[in-house]
Amino acid sequence: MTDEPIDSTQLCPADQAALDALVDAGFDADAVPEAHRARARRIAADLSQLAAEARCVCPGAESRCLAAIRLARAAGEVCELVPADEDALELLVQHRFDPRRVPSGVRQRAAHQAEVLGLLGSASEELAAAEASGRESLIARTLSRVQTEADAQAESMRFSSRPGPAARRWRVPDLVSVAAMLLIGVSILWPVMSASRERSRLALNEANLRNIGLGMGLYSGSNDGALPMATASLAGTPWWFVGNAEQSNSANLYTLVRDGYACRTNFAAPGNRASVECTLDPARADWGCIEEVPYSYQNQFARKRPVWRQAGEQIVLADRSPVILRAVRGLWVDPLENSPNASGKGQHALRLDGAVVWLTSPVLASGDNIWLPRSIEDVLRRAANARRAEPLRGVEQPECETDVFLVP
Amino acid sequence: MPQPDRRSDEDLFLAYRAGESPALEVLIRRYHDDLIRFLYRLTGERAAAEDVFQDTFLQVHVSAGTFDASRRFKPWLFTIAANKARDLIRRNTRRRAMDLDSPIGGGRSGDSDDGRTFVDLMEIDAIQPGEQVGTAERDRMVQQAVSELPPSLREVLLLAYFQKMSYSQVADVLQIPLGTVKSRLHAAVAAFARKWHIVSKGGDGT
Repeated sequence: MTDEPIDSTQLCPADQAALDALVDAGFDADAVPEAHRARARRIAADLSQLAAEARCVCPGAESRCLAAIRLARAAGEVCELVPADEDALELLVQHRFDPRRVPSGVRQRAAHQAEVLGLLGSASEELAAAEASGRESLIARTLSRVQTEADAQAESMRFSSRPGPAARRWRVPDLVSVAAMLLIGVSILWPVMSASRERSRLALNEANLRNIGLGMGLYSGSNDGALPMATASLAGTPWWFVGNAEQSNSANLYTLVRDGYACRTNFAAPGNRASVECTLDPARADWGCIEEVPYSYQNQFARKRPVWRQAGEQIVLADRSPVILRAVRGLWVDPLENSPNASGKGQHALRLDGAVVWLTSPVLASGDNIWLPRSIEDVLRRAANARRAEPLRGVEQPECETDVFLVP
Repeated sequence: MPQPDRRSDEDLFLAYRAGESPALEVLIRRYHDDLIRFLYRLTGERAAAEDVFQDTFLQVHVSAGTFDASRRFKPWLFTIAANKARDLIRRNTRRRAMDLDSPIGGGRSGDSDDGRTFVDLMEIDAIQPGEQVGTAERDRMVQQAVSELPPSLREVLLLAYFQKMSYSQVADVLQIPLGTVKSRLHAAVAAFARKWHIVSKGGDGT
C-alpha cells in the first residue's frame, strides 16, 4: 500500500526542486544552495520523522522514489485502523453495514464506524435539492443517449443487412429486365450452339460410317468382295433378335468388330446414347440388345447379296432404322420416317463404293425405301394410305441384291 | 399517478432485453439516487458523476446481451459504474500540487508502530447529522475527505459501502486479491475517518 499515495499527491514545483537539491546534497540541508535551503530544511525535518521506517523499508534513502514515499506518508496518506476497529469493521462488512446485527462486544465500535461511513451516503439538502431538480433532466438525457445508441445500432443492422451494390434487393422490374436479357441472349446463342453441336455430331457420324466403310473394304478384300456376314440363313426366328448371333442381322455387322476390321469407337453413333455407353467385346458375336446397335445394315438373308463396290452407289449401311425400332414393339410403322440418330432430320448412309451421303428421306431417287423390302413397298404403293405399313415380322428379306433393306 | 413497477431488477432488465423499452426507464429511476450519489462521491464532481451515470446505462444497453440472467442486476450495474468512473478518473488525473507550507494533515491520533499511523475510530468525533452544522458544509467536507483518498482506496470504500458487498464480492468486481480488498478497505476507512476528523475540525488533525 505504500505506493498508493504516490499517484495522488505531488509536491509543488518549488518543493520538488528543493527535494532534488536535498537528495543531491545527501540529505544535508545545509549543503543545499541558498535558493532552496529553507524549503530543503523543512523537507529534511519532515523526512527525519520517518527515518527509522525508511531505513527498514529501503536503505537507499537517497533515491527519489523513497523521498516520494516518505513525503506521501508525511502527508498522512498511509494509516491503518487499530486492531479493535479492524475486527469491528470486519463484522460490520459481514453484516452489510448494519451495526445492530454486530455482536454486542464490538457493537459500539461498529456503530461508530457506521456513523462515520454513513456520511458517505448522506446528502445535504442542497445536494438532495440539486439531485431532485436535475433528476428528470438526467434521466431524460440518459434515455435519449440510450435511444440514440439503439437507433444507431438498428441503422447499422439495417445497413449491414441492406445488400450492397453487388447484391441489391431485386425488384420485379429488375427481375423482368434480367430475365428478358437472358432470354434474348439464349435465343441468340442457343441456335448457334445447337447448330454447332449438330454439325459436330453429324461430322462425327459421317466419319464413323466412312471408317466402317474402310473396314468393309478390308473385309471384302479378304472375302472375295463379300460384305461382312456371320450367318447366312435364318432358322425361323426374326433377324431383329439382337444377341442371338446365329440369326440376327446385327451379328453380320459385328463381324467387323469381332475380326478387328473396324475400330470399336466407330460404332458409337452420336445420336444413339446406348451405342456410346455399351462396351464392344471382340470375344462376343453381337450387340447385347437392339438399342445398342448403332447403325442399320443391309439385310444379309437374301439369296443374292450385294458385293462391295459392285454396284457403286447402292446403300448398305445407314443410321438406325426407325421402322424396325417400331416394328419390334409391334407398332404400326411410318415408312417415310427418318432415323432417330439425326433427330428425324435425315440419315447418313454408306454406299458400296465407300462414299457416305446424307439422305433427307429414306426413299431413294430410284423409289426404293431403305427401311423396307420391295415386297412391302409394293403393297404400300397400292394401298390407299401409303404412310401406314403393316407391322413387320422380322423375317422379311430383300427381294434381290439391289433391294436396299437396312435393319439392325 | 402511475403505479410503481414492482418487478425485480432482473425481471425488468430481462423485459428490456426482450424489447420492452420502458423497463429501462424504470431501472434508471430506481437507481438514480443511489448511483448518482455513489458516482458523485467517487468522482468528486457532479458533472462528472452525471456523465458517468449516462455512460453506465449506455453500457448497460450495449452489453445487455452479455448479462447473466442468473446473477443479480445491481452488482452488475455498480461494477459497470465503477469501471466507467475509474476510466474517467484515469483520464482526468490531475496531480494535486501540495505546498509543504500548507497543512499536511496535522498530528497523529494513534500510536506509531513500525512507521505506520494507527487510527482509533472511537477517538474520531464525527459530526452527527442532527448537529448544528450546515448540511451543505458537511457535504463539502465529506466530499473533500473522500476526494483526498487515493482512487484505489476510494473505489473499494464506496463499492463496499454503497453496494454492501462482501470482501469476496468486491474482489470479484475489482479483479484484485481478497487480501488486497481487505487491507484497502481498512486503510480507506481509517484514512477517511482521519481526513474527516481533520476537515471537520478545521484541519488541525488532532
